[in-house]
Amino acid sequence: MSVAATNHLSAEATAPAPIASFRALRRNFGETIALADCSFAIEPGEIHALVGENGSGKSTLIKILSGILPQSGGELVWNGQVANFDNPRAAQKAGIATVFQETLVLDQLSVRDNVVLGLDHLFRRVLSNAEETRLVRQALDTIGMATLGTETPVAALSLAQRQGVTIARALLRPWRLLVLDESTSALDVDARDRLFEALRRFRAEGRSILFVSHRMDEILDIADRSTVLRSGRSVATLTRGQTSTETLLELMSTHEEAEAAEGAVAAKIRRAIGAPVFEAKRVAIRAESAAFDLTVRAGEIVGIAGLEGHGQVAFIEAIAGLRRPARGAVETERGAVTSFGNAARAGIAYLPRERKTEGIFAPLSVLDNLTIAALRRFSHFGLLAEARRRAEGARLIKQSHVVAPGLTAPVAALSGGNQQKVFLGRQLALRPRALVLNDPMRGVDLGAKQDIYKILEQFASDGGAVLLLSTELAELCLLCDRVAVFHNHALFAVIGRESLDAQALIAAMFGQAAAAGRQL
Amino acid sequence: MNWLRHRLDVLAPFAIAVGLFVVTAAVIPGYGNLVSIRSLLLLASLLGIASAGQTLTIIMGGIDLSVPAVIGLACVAFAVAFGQGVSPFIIGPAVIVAGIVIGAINGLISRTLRVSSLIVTLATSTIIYGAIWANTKGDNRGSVPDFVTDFVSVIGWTGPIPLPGSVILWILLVVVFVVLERRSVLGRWSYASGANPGAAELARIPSLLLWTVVFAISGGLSAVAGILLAGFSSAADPQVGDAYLFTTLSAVVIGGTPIIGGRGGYARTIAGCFIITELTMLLIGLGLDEAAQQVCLGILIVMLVAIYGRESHVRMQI
Amino acid sequence: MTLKIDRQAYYWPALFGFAILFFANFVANPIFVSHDNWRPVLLGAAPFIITTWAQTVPIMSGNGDLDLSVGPLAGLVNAIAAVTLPSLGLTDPFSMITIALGIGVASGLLNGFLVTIVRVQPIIATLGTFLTYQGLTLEVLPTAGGSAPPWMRVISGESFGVPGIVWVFVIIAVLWWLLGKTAYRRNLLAVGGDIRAAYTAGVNVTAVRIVAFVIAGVLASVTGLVFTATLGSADPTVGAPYILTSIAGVALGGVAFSGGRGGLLGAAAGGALLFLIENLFSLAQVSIYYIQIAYGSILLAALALNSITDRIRRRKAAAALV
Repeated sequence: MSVAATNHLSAEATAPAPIASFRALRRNFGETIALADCSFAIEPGEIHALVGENGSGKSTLIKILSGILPQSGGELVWNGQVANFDNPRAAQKAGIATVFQETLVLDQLSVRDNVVLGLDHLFRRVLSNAEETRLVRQALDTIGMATLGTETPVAALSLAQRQGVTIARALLRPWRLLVLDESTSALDVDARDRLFEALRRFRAEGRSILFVSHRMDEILDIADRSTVLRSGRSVATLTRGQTSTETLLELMSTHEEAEAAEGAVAAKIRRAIGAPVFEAKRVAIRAESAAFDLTVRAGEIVGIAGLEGHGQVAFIEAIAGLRRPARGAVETERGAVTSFGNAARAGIAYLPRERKTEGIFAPLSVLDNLTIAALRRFSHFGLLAEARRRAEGARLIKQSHVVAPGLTAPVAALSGGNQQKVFLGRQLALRPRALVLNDPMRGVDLGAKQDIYKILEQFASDGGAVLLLSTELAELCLLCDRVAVFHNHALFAVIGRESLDAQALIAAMFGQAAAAGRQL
Repeated sequence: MNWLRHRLDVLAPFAIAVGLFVVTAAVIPGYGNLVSIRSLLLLASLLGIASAGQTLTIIMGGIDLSVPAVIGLACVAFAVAFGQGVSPFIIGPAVIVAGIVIGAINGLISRTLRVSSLIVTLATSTIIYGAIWANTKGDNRGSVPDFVTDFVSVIGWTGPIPLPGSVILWILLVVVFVVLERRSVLGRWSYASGANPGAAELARIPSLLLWTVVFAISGGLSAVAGILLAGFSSAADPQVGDAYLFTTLSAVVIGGTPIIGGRGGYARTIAGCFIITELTMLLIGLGLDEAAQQVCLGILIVMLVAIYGRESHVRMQI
Repeated sequence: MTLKIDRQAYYWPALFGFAILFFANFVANPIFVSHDNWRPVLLGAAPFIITTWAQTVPIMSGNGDLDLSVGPLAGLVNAIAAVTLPSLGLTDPFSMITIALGIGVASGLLNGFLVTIVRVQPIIATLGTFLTYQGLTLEVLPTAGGSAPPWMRVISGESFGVPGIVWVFVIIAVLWWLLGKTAYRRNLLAVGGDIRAAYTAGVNVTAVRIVAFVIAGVLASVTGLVFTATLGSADPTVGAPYILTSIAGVALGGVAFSGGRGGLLGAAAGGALLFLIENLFSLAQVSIYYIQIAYGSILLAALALNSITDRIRRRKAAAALV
């Protein structure tokens, strides 16, 4: 990539030695390669963005840098010396403070304990109570959360406040490189702005920041340079002048992938819309929030969108019978949905969000993973009619476009995308009338995404109803007949096919009625 | 390559079992003879029957510490009742049903309260021990019908087969369990539940039913083991099962079923049963007294588990 | 610092239960609270309380940690203190206490090493050491015997106007309180609450867990010395029953088995509860055998109570996050 090469030359000529650099860094888990070849450098006093799709290796890189995982090959050079951090504590001692994607906080402990955690030795405390309180306040103030009580137990905090706690935890350490791994997603606009201000201040002090975000506006706003990862390789490092949304997106996806995505749009067909499959009637997600109706019909793909924590997840969980709404009811032809079991009887299948913890049975075979929810269908007095089960397994593999070495192969041997298709196949095995999906394309490669699009379109064409919650707006625009946008724990707008685009969705997600072309 | 590694994984415990036998036969004169092979088979079969339920429980993600207590209860109830003239064909099934009920209660409580079955079964076993003592008041006179004694006799025959009934029962149990694990709804549910408890309910596995049934199986088989041990010791001994807490657990884990569940199987536990029984016989053969046996068994088993029963590091959980 | 009363604290149900049973014991036998009765009551309660304390610390460190070897270790220390050390001529308090505590530290290091570094599951590892200690105890002392050196009357008798055992409690409580002032308490609660959060924040999770086992070992050997002082001799069967009561005491004390919640106050109340029940049973002249049934049932009841309060707590937390 010529862009990266010229940049490197100019950087070496003028800038001081980099604070951290990666040289052909590699990491594999068994036969899965998480990081293939990653090389770039972070200069002192710069905000460096790390950009890439899910599964491109960003998290693995950050884990190596933070001392959680050792690399399988290549070098990490820290402050001019080859470094191997044995554990997070060693990385912190060297001056690397990391805020992880997951908000790792301890519910039972106070805000102060959570922020200070890890600073101490096994027995010896580094700071007195008073100093701790003062420094914690100061760190929280950086992100506009100075009013948060330092002695409040974290259990009482909102998601945004919890994220604030993890950021404060990193800021409190004597760091020279701050790593933010998608740590701004739950923050509100004000907290984020204040954090960015602070980041610029830190930059002026000569400290560096490695910044991971999926939001292009944030990257364009704050990053001095951006490194793009694709399939575990660093493909380019761009200076501020070279960075634009288009360049980044192009670098993140290969040409074939981009073309394939367009192919799917062209393949879009009009489906016949039938009778209602389920109806949310006067549903209120929280006791104090507004009630609304939503009907989903046979042959329809209805999208669900909203900013994190605006009630959309609670809504689809209510449809799936996993929770009761504060008010109202979910009704189907076969009765009201009141429990997970009875949602299944009403023909509603649910695909949970977390494939790893809520989905895949890693040591079990592909066949078991596909049929586990529908085992009773193959049961003769408790014993399995194996031939029939295998036939159904083979059919499901085809229907869900799964690429697997065989029905008996352990599902753990499959790629993430294929595992996700198996997981979706498990729901299809229930022969549902409606599929309720919680962000099914998350962390899935483009090829698998294409297959999932096809599965969903086929399911809808065959007369099924799909309720699709997704955090990727392009995907919603591509697939859905209409999208229900949630704001403040209530349905804010339903955007139909004719006015469906990313801008309209974003406007509605931020509660801007006029721009969203709001209709209810 | 992968296939080979997988097979090696399964075969290693069996190789250890065979190796241990060869070494012991070389060290202890007369160990290789027919009588001692038959007693190895017999002792392994008793452990095998007691570990069957434990294996399935662990695969499912639970653990059954009430095995020794149920064995003790079954042994005492069977021997005492028979000694008082109750027909073995009434008290036998009654004892097994009692084991099943106790097991079912274990599963039901663990699942309803969502507390570790380790603690729940520890509690129920205390209650069971208390109940045994309270009823017998330490008076453990009892006797066992001859056919039960023959069933677990080293020189016993089963029809034309020169093996005691207990060994034949074990072989049958292996066949039933392998089918149960691989070809039954219950078996597949157990593996899934152990592999990913968070996903099990979302995959529409009826956890309460599953836990109740699997623990009931464990309780029932423990009771069977208790009756057989009554035959073996010809007495009503409430402590007869005590050794079976550690040995069933280690037979399962050393065989290659990890204690976190979801993998392994009863076929592997066979190897574990042989290893444990051989180790015990080796220690006895070397002339160690009971106390020294305990010490050595404790150390050896922890070492064996350390070789291939390890847990994952925190860093792999992030 | 003003003294705050935390209404949500985990130990309230345990203290409440303790108060009720204390009262029940008093009603059953008013002599229970008389000055003369103090010493035997406290000596009887001591092994319950101290073994429960020992069990509490590994359980608080979470991740399935528990120490099934506390009872047998106490038994082993009892045998060594009453038989081995006198036979070696070591009967002075300094060497006896040093050796006993040294054994506790070594046992804790061994259990901690097996669990955190070798990564054997806690139940298998500590069952293994349990068997080993029991075997060693029988090697040292096949049947009850041995004798306690005279200085142990400091523990079993009265000293400075109160029963000597009170000083043992006071020393442990003060040391625990001091430990609570260090970073260890926060580290322990963090490792028990979510080991991943603690690890990424930079806590040395391995060291925290090993220290938890060491504390358990030390407290178990203190129990061994108390046995020696109380019995005036050694008994190879004295330790084993305290495995169950230590775990039951932890549950009754409101300490969470999933880790991250608990402390010695609740655990003391939990352990004392079990003693009070035993005492009540013997006052009522109920057969000793029924006590086992009572222990088991009480453990189940405590589990149910913990599970219900946990569920309420979690529901509140989940509601806050919708």
